[in-house]
Amino acid sequence: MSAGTGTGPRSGTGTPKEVEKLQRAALYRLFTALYWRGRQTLRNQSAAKSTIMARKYVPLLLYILIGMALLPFAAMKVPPMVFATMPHAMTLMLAGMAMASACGTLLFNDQESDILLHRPVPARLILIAKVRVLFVQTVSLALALNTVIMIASPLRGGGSWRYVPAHIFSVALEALFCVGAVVLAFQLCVKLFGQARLQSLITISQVLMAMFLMLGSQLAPRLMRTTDFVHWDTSPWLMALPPAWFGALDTLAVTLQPTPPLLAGAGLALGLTALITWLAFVRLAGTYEEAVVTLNEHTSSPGPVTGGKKRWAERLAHLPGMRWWLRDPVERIGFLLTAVQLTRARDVKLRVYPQIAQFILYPIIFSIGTRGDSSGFAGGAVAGFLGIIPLTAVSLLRYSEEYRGAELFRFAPLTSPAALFFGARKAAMVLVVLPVVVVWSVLLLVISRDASVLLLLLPGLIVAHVISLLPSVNSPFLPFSETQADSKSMGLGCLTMILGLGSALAIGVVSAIARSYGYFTVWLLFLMITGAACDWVFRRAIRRHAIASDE
Amino acid sequence: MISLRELTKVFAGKPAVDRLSLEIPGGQIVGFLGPNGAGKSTTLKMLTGMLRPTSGTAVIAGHDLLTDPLAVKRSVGFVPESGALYESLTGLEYLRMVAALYGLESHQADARIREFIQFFELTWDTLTDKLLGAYSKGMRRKVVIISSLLHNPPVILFDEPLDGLDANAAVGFKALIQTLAKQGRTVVYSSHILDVVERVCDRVVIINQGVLALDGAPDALMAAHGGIPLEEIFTRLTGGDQLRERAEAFAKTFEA
Repeated sequence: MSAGTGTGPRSGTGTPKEVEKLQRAALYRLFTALYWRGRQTLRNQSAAKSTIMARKYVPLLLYILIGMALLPFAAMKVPPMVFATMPHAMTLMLAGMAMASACGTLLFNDQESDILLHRPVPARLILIAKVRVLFVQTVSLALALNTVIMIASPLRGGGSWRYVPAHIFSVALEALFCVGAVVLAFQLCVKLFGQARLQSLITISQVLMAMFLMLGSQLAPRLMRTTDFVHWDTSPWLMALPPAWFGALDTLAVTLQPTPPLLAGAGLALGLTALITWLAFVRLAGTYEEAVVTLNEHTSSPGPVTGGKKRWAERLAHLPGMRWWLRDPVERIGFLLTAVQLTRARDVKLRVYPQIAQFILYPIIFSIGTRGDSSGFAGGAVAGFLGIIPLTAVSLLRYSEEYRGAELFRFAPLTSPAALFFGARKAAMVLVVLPVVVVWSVLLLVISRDASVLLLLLPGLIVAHVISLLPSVNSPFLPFSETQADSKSMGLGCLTMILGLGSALAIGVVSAIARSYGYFTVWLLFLMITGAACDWVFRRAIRRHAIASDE
Repeated sequence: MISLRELTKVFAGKPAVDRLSLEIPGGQIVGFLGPNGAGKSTTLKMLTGMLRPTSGTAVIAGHDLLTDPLAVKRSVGFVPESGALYESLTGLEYLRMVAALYGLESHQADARIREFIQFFELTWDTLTDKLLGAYSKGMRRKVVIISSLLHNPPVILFDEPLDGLDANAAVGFKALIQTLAKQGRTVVYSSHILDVVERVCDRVVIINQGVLALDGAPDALMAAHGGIPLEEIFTRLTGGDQLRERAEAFAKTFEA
């Protein structure tokens, strides 16, 4: 076999522009494939193709169905601006959140350095390819979400066909805004706080972005509700929220009446998106290159783990009470492993914390735009969501880029993964749920100035305890044993999540009603008895699972 | 081909590579040795532009690493120790992607890939049908090696390239790099398998704690050290003496 003639590199046979074109196309294909397939392949090859198809098209279908929730607004007699803002609020929340949760691992992957950083490709091209993928996928999801409303809009009273092209444009602009804002957030964090802390900054900026997206999307409809959806222009804060800017663009196209608030909103949509895009992809593009190199340096020589950092999890597990709670040695191992992963493993942090961060400001969100006892409603609503937080967190603890490490448990003398699951779940309770409960308690107290509203969190805690067992009821749960690719698969996990979400929200609503009518103690007793029964049944089911073979 | 002057890399105040100076001409195979954490991989990553040197200069294939890193990258083929690749791509997708990054059109890439798979005893079907995550370790390593050589680089850097290769593939690979060196390419071969280095390399460079500890032809080095094998020279230089005694003492703890 000949290795080729001559010693010169073969690259550069085309002009630099032609080479760059090839590189752009190759990188775009690469990151599109990685976005849909995940970075590690499914070990079950035969299932891979169908799962990838499901990953591509099921979310689109799901988003089309979710978009039907906007149909009542098409039937209602609301001002065009209100009608136009609602889809953008939903788009910002769902499509924006989906993009935000994917971007951390797509933009910064430390395994990537050994594959790409020694190739003759400027980091700028890598960034552009990743952003293109994020943009295209976000636009696809956003348009799927808005399909039904775009069909319904011209048919409603006062509707116009002009809404459809205007909305496609504004949705694409909104997607660009989201992608640009997320990339800019990363870059500003790196600029402001230095590259040395890049690892933690990536998580922090993504958490902040999740909170921003949730707040931005949820406040707009609630502010409009405070004006009965009619006098939206009297709400001074509405135009500070992105959904209103993009809604203003649609409204201008439909009404052709350039009022000052509409012009201001449309101007903000165009101006801020242009500014953010320029800052993220032109002005600060070099920051990405620096960040990628820094990430590689961190991978090459990770900083030392100091004694205090190293042993905090063990100290926590040895606290009085905790020691008894974690008296099972295998449970303790599950707890310690999870605690360490939740604080050190970047992929785990990026998967868990942004998902949880979106819930943090719920007490504020639910207290706005609610008639009557707003703090009671907020308390009931957050109590419902309290059940979702451990369910979300624990479900995500299955996955890790270091999934091969779980081999250890397959050949260790363990008959069931139950104890490891219980330990992981307890770590999620202590490190994820407890801080959220503290923040929510403070927010509810500030909002209501009534300590009794905190009682509404009790049903949530009971529900959280029981629902967090669900991820292991149907199938064996070995913490951090599955690939990241599997985490995008939909199916039973999605069903569990929907069931959990539904029951948790129902319990939240019933709690608020029970408190209003004076039956709260009875309701709490009922929940405790039912919860104890469910706990017993679920634990029996979980202990029956054997450790799954690694196929 | 490779010229290093006082090349230094400092991590958190500690030098991982400390003022390393080397001249490696074309056509030479250099065994780059050192104990774990000696700075071998850090040096190789600097030579590929993956890490920025803290100080010093490096000129590779006539290109200055600091002022023209992309030209250096075009001239270098690198097999990283991790053997990292995108497991969710097929072998062909991966190799085509790498070829495009070096500016090879798809028809050029495919022709080149066919040459390589013949040499490495892979099949086109394997490359097209299976995702890389399902490959054996040896097959993955072959794909990584192919990806480092697709663009005919004049400088080739290998970090533990034989890891996972079976005996036949390893023999073929060693013959290949010797032939490539005869064509005038520079090969830097970092490995812990000292007898392979001894047989394949024209020159051995040992670094310890980031500092150049020894540099010379294997035969000359062994002659200068009283005819002892390279392995023993290595352990003496890197503080690995009395290993056998320590192993015997430790093994006694299993008897209890």
